[in-house]
Amino acid sequence: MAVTDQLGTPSIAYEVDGKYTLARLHRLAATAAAPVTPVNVYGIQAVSADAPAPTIEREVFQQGGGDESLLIKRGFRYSGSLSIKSGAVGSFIAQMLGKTWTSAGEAALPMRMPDVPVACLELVARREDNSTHLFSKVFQDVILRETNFGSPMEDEVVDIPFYSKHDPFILASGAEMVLDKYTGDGSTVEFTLSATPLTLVETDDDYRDDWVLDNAVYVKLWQSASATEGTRQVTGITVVGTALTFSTAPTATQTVEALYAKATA
Amino acid sequence: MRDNYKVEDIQRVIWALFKSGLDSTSPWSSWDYILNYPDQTVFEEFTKPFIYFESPVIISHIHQQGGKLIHDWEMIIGIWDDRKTGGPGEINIITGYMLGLLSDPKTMNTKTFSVILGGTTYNNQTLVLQNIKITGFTGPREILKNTDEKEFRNEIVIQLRA
Repeated sequence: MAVTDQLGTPSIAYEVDGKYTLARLHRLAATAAAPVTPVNVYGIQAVSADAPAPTIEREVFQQGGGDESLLIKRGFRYSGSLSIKSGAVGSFIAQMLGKTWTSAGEAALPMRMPDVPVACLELVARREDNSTHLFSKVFQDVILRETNFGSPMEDEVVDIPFYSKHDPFILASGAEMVLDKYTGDGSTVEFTLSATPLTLVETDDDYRDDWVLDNAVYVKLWQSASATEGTRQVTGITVVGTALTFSTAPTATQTVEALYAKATA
Repeated sequence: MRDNYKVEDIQRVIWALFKSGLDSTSPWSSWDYILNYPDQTVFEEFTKPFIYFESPVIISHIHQQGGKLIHDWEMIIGIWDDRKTGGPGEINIITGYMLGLLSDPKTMNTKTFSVILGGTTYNNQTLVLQNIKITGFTGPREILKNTDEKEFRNEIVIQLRA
């Protein structure tokens, strides 16, 4: 390598056009199934993401230490926004909240949102053939924020803010997200995943404090049928091959939820 | 696609997409596909409507820092009636199919074809494999009747990156 090097022509494969990106989501409160079928999202014009921001940030000094300090940052939040054609906003919110938004279902959707994770959002970036996978941006444990829209003279693109308490990541070409959910029975300790999980991370990376397994984003237990969210398990779980094993069997009231990635068939 | 033959190769790849990729299926098989603007002798030999593919023209450049260029191009695709079938109705059908294909990125970019570039045949090619990205299109424009009032012609301009 020399400072006089000239690079080649820029590759078209470096171009990631959102118009070829498929947005799909796995709804976390879906009925138990392995796998839970992902839902495609219609009407998206753009998805923006902010830099991670800590909810607590403090610079700590000690007496006798001069200006040397320690910057403590905790409780990171990962915020973003989905811009959606106004005509698709209702069906999107209904998808995320698991509502049947029809005159025969739950006809009135809220503009205020529950402060609980509702979905894993997967933005599948592809080449211009809408087939060749480049990578996927994955927002786990998406929590919707409040939104609203009016009636301008022309079509409106509505921004729906969201955030997550857990880090988004970019998934390599050839991989896709899988959500498996099972109902416990008080005796079963081993659940067979619907696909073989890929290795995702080295869990000893010090910037990955959310990840306790190298081949699953998380394993959660929902405590009851009326629970609004699951609890991430940090001990007592292993995933080897397609076997998800608990050291203590989930009870009959509990639901098991595992989010991981598999190789695309 | 060869570095120093882009004008010829882009034209040939787009032509080959239609010629060997699509013309085995109806209604694409009802039409013929030729390179360059037809002269009168060529024109008179055709027995069915045809689509011609002109040479591409550079309209802008794309850089990466410290590197060479790639280009944005425009290329005219014309649709010409044979004076024996259809007339403006047939021309509009062909144009509609052309616009439908250009509006269908998956079909357009995954359709396989064979193309000969510099004497070498490349089989099972796609636009993606050939590093040609169609970025847009305009038209159709109705072209004024040339030599015969029974001639009907539309042109579409495609924009591409290569």
